[in-house]
Amino acid sequence: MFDLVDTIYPETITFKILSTFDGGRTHVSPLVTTIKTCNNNYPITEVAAVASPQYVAHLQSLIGFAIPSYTDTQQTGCPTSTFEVSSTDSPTYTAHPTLNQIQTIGGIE
Amino acid sequence: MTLYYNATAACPVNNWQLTTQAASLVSPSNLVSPVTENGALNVKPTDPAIHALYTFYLKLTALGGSVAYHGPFRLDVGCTTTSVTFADDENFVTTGVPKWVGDPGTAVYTLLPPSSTLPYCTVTSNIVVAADGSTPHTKINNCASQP
Repeated sequence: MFDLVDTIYPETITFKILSTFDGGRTHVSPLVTTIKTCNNNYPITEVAAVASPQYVAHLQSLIGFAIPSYTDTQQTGCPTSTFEVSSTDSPTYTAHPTLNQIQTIGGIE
Repeated sequence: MTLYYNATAACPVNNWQLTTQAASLVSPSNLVSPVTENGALNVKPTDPAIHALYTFYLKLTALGGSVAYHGPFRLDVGCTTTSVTFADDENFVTTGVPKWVGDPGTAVYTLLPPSSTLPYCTVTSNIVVAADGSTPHTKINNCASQP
């Protein structure tokens, strides 16, 4: 029985097993593959809240709403990687009709 | 070991000597002279714990001085490259148990150990190595890898 050293990162692991017999004779097994995958049920929490509403000057096209930062329970290997702007708080994503998606340099435009 | 006789029963072979050469006497250092056990002459290694293939000849001397050499003979002790082969279990599994990140990493793979053609050549350890077979693996725990 073999165990993983950790389950921190998603990855495909390949290995073989070296069997040693009496007399020091050895035998190497065929290649074995096992996978670690990010699940879709890690709770996501807000790390740092931001003010809302946020006030920005008009015509400053690169500045928008600076969103909070988030983390999930497996942040190291399965970080929160996608941010989408929705017009509702429904679990079903609905693209916002008048806001662009998030730009990393400033926020939502 | 076969017992040797000469054609003249009155002049039996009365001396058996081990040699590493086909036609001269060079005593092997790793074999002891034949001794009678259970009615047969037996050749044994000096150290029976060593796994090795021994090749030797016999110098036979009959009463009266007739000499003959016989061989080669081979004594294969233990688990050597010439005595045993190994094979993967016919149900060997090439995939581990899929794991979610964050879940316990235990019991990711259960080895069906390889078999040996000789019952006394048994597995003493199993360790996980990298795909090239040469280096210890860093992502699989070997602590639970004993047979």
